Amino acid sequence: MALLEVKALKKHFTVSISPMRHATLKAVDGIDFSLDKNRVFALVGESGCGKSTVARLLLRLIAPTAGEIRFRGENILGLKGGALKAFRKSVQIIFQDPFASLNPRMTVFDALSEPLKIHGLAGRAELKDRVSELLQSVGLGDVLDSYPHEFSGGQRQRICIARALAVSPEVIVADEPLSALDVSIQAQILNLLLELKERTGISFVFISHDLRVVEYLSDEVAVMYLGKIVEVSKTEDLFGSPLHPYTEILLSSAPSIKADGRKKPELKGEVPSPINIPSGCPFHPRCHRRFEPCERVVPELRQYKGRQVACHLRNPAI
Amino acid sequence: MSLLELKGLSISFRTRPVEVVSDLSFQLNEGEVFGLVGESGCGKSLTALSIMGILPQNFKTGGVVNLRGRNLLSLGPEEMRDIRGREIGMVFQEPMTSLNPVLRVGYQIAEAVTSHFRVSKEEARERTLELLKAVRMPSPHVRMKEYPHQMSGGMRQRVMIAMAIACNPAVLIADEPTTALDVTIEAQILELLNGLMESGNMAVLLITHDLGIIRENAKQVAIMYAGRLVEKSPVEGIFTAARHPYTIGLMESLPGQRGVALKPIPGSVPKPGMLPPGCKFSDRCRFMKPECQADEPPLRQVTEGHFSRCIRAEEMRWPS
Repeated sequence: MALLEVKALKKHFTVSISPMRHATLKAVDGIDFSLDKNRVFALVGESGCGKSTVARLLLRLIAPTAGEIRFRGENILGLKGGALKAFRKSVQIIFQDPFASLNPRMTVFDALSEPLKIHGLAGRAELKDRVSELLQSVGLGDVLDSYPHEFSGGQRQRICIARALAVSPEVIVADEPLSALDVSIQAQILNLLLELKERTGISFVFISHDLRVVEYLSDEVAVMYLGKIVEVSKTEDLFGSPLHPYTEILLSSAPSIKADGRKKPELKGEVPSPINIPSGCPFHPRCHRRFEPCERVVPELRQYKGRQVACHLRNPAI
Repeated sequence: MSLLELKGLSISFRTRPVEVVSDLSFQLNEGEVFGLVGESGCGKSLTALSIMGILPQNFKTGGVVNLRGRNLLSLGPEEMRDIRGREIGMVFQEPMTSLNPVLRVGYQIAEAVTSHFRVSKEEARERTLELLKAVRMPSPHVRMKEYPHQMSGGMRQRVMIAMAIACNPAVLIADEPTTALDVTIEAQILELLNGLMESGNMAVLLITHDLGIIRENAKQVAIMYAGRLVEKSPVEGIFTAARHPYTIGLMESLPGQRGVALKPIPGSVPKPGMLPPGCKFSDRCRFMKPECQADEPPLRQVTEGHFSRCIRAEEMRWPS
């Protein structure tokens, strides 16, 4: 059984576009995926595709409009009281900006001991040892009494990771955890995440726009566009032979340090507003391979050669 | 002949004797993209600001910045104002904070023209439209009447570029022009910059932290660490035979093949004033020898056109 399972998940927001008019913003519009134990599942896509909304839904920080999220077979939307608290202990998050996600007035010890106290994981006497141990596990020394401003971005991200690890979660949702960091520091954190995965058996939902990192770290990848998953597959397959034209363009747009002299396919225009999603396939206005049915029929995510893709090109019936 | 030449540029605080940029020299030739690479705090943006003459008040400069043989650092504020925007244009990283939120973008672009040339309102308007077309803004007639908040990040960056090239400058400084953008928009903006450079014979100083962008766009490249150039070469040089441990560290930090462990640079960049003696990278360098901390090594030529600030540069070679 999958550890975490998402079915037909939707999140629609109502936004006001003028004082008297409201519109529906479909941030997440019917997605399915599942995460197995000790795996890294990556969600990739450009700004506004809904990937961070998925992160917040998975943590139950916001309630979905429709669909379900099952953790160990149980729908988390129905959880209350003790069961909800247990779920919160099992799934933790790391945010993008380590400068904004640590309370500037709490010492490292305060920040890391709080989750331990809330979940009753350590007695007063053990707190200090347990926090030191956590800091050690993320490669920080004896910094218990320091405040966040005393640390660099990379060190702060280590503290955030230690805080997530404090409750020994089974799943960590990492929302762009490397984007605010310099390349050499990114590599340090990336090594740390991989080491944690090996050592503790944690699973990750890894949200990123950086395809190089995703290719290196993840086992499975889902590509999102305007609130929908357009392609899911094993990382090697997706990077080896993308099936969806959008994936193809994403992969070739990323600047590479390998000189292969390839010509980039031109991607016209910008991502349309999620308030006004194009008819048919949401990607059709920008697609270089669109044909007749694309602007009429919404392509479903369907099986294709053991992988999943939402594109009419891969549908033998059309 | 070189268009822009930096000779021994140094930038330091007025209040303390701490150099944040030290002994920086490079040349930018006509119709060429020169890439300046480094991590946050290495001084690459300060270098750009000092060329434009818009450094914050608490910094002072030393050395020479020659534009066609004229030292910009010795010019007065009025003379510099003539050069800024007219001879050197600049595109900043964050287009939202660099555009005025209460003025229409058309007005802001026209202002770039009217502040340097005596033109009628009508001429300025036409030039603005022409510029918006040049940066391939969709429906320019409508967009020129809009405010920055009505546009996407990519469109705002197009407006910034239109302003920067309004007076056909000889030099364009692009400071992380695509860092705030998505990859597909990034590719569009870089292609646009390349096209403009070729058609206008502009020289571009491209400042970035992304080595992929450098490889695909620059002709010459310089790597900065702690305010110093540590390596400088034609672009292929650093990707086929890097000669400085810091450059090698950057390359080995990039995620490559799955299952192959990354070799990050240990530690983090020290604050200016806290740098080690001798070679400034020595405290993080895995090739460090005691001699490294004696005197600061000079930037010296290792092979034709390829410079490194490492006393062991001859032994260094990545990928080996």
